[in-house]
Order: sequence, then structure tokens, then C-alpha cells
Amino acid sequence: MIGSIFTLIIAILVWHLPLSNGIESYLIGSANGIWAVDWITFWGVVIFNTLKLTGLFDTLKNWLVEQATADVRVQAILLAWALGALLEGLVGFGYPWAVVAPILVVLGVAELDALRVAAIANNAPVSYGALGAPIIALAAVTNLPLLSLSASVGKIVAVLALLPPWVLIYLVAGRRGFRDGWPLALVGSLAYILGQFPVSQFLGPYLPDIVGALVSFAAILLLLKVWRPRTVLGYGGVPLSEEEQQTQRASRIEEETSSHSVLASLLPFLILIVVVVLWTGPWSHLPKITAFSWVVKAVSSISNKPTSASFAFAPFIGGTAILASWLIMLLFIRPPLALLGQVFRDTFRQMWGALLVGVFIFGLAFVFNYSGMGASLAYGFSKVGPAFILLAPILGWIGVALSGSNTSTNSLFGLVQVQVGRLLGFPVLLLPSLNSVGAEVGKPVAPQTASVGVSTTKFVRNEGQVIRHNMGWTLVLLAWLIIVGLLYYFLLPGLMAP
Amino acid sequence: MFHQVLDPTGNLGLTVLASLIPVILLLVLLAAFRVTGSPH
Repeated sequence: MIGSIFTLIIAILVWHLPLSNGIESYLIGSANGIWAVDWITFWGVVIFNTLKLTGLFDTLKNWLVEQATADVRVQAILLAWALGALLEGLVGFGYPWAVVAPILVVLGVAELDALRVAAIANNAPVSYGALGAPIIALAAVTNLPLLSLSASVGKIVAVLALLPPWVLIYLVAGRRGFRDGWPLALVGSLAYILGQFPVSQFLGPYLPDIVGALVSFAAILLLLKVWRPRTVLGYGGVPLSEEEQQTQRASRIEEETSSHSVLASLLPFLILIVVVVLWTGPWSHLPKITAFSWVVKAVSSISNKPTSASFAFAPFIGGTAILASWLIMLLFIRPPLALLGQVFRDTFRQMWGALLVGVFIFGLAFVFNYSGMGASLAYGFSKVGPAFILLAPILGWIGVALSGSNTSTNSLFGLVQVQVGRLLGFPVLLLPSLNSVGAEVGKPVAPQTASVGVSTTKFVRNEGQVIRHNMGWTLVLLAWLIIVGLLYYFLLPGLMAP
Repeated sequence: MFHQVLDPTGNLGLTVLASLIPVILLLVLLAAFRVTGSPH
């Protein structure tokens, strides 16, 4: 709120924005924050809380832990990489750390390292986190087509995701982990990409993580049916004796999960995928139905052509598809009414702050862009020249390291990146996509994410130590992202055109 | 219709600094209060 008021004052005093236009663009931005982003993230958390309180999520989690063998490399890929992606895809919020790290600790990984493994594993899925909210935000502020942005980010993430599983194996087992564990990293990364990539290219930003995670589960479990590492390694790459493996097994398996329970726990995800694909796929007109629009126009200081801040109330957008999925899930789960009350109480308790901040940040971002402040900043950045390709992901990284949110970072810098790209003749989608993926790479050092992530560990109120521990590998991934950006800029620019 | 101004201070460096104020203020406030705008 303070930031919003400050932005309005600067826009009026320095950029000569009329007060009425300023208020109108602020309200339009806030409406976008509520309807485009808050609406979908709210129902995503409602689904997660429903699965949690009915025990379905724990059933799935326990079953995966049972399948994870005694080998720390399998545990890292199956739990931190694949289960983490599923959690990020549905709910985000630092839950992939908060859920995965304690499991790894029980399995013998040191707590600080377990947090780092969960955080680094959570890199690639963030752009499609919380049912695609960051990409939805990017489309809302840039007016670029949602599917085009989903596809361009997907192309970058597909290359980025080749690296983290190798890093995870190194983090839990050292170089020794690669000797006979490399198929795990290979299958883990390729399976996630196999699920994530086509969904991001042809269906949009809502489901790439969830499908990527489910394909990863299937591929890793199939791999384990036909192949296992020759030597079973524990944390630190230490070979485990038969006795130690038995102890590990006892800590993983209290009571074997029945196949019926596993199917029941997977059913909600299948319902979500079917409903969202049918509802939002390219064949569906539902998300395009608009009840009314609200537009305030201006003349751009960069192009001298009309530009606008706009909000279209489309009642059947992605968030409504998630609501419909949840209602269908209820028909199968049949939870008691009291439990549903608890679901909403938990969801509001977890989300009220984020929902409000989403409203304020979108209002601020729309004033920032509509007033021309964003255009001035883009014009200044464009003076860097083509070398800005190196800075674009760093801007996203810094944005998330401070705001804690890929969505907020995209709403603040998304249009600025588009305008810099246009001024410098870059492919239109390249810089905003690098902004988004830069933000996902920065998540392990975001204090807000760390706060939630450490909530189930002894590092509560000691997030600084965790962030410092994560920093080095986050910078390695940022460097990898910059290389991927250069690849698309110099060799494959056509893939970054709408 | 409102016409945006590219360089309202007449000094591009100063204009860029002014345009960064709201962004930096917001990011610092979010970091200081440990609030996040969205779950991911």
C-alpha cells in the first residue's frame, strides 16, 4: 500500500500523470491482480488443502517415500525433483521445501543440505508454479498472448531443466554419485521435460509442472523396475551396508500403501488435468468469453502509438477451471462439510496476505507502466545495448530475491523487458521469458520462500544461514540460464517470436 | 488522452533513477516485511 501511494505520487509529480488516470489504471491493475492471479492461486491452495486434510496427499507422499529405495540419489530425484515439482505446480509458496526437506532429513540427509536440495530442485518448476500464475501475470502486464509466453518460457525451461538433477545427485552423493547413478539424472530431467514441454507449447501455463511431475514419477519408477545403481549410496556418497539399508527401509515404510489408495490419491490430479485441458485448451472458447472490459488509453512515449491499461472480466478463465476441477474432485472424495470449512479457514489463513499484496502490486505495476515510468526505465536500460541480454535474467533474479514472488517480479519488470527488447530489436518473447526464468532461479535465495520453507525445520528465524548455503548453486544455475539466453539470442531467435 | 513523457526530468540518468524509486521501495518493503505477492 505504501509502495502504491508512493508510485502514484511520483507518477503525478514527475511523469505528469493526471490523478484520475492514475487512479483508474491502479484500479484496473488491482482488478487484474484479483481476477487473473488471486482467483487461480486461491483455488490451487484450496485443492492442496483438501488433499492434505482428507489424507490423500499424505497417501501419495508416503507411497513415493516407499518407492524411493535406500539410495539417496533415488530419493533426491523422486522426492525433491519430482514431488517438489508437483507441489510447486499446484501450490508453490515454499511448500516444496517445507514438505520435501523433512522427508530427506528423516532419510539421513543433513538438515541444511536437505533444505538446499529441496530448494535447488524447486528451480525449474517455478515459472509454472501455482498453476501458471507467473506466466498469467506476465501476459496481463505485457498484453502478449498467454500461450506464446507459456511456449517461450517452456523452451527456456526445457534446456534449463537438463542441469538441476545432476546438481542434486552431486549435492547428496558427491562425484561418486555419478559413477553408476547418472541414469537417474538423465531420466529425471528428460522425463520432466517430456511432460512439461508439450503442455507448455500447446496447452498453456496451467499444467506443465503437474504433468512434468507425473511423467517423472512414472519414468523413474519404471527405470527402477529394470535398473538400480550397482552400489547403494547413502548421504555423502557413503556405500550402505545391508544392515543400514534395512534400517533405511524401516524408516521409510511403516505400513505399505495399497494400490487402491495410491490410485485414489492420484485421481484428483487426473481430474484436474482433464478438466483444465478441456476447459482451457486451444479448442475451448470458454476463457475468451468476456462479460465486460475496462480500458484507459494513453499515447506511448516510445512508439508514439496508442497504448492502454485494460481489464477484461472473463468469467471462465483458468481460475474458474480450477474451481470446476475442485467441485468434481469433491464428488469423488466426498469429504464431510466440517472438513471443507477447515479447508477454507486454512486457505484464508495462509493466503490473505498474499492475496492483498497481489492486489497492491498489480495496481502499482499498472500505474508504473501506464504513467510511462516503465517506458523511461526501459529506454534507460536500452542504452546498455545488446549486452542487456546478460542483464535480463539477472533483473528477474534480483526481483524475486527481494519480492519472493516470480509473479510479482513478472508484473513489475515484464513490460519493461518487452520494451527494452523492442528498442533493441530482440525477439519479442525473449527478454520477458528470461525475466521469468531468472526469477525462478532466484527462488532459493528469496527470504519469503525461505521463511515458509524452513517452517518445518530447526532453521526457523535463521533463514539467513539457509540462504547463504543456497547462494552458490543458485548463481551456478543463473550462469547456466544466461548461457541458455545467449543460445536463443544468437542461434535460435526465431523460436522466441510470437 | 494522456501522453506519456519519456524523459520528464530532462536528464536520462535522473529519470531512470526516479523510475527505479517505486520498484526499489516496493522490493525493499516486501523483503523487510517478509511478505510475498503470490504463492510462487
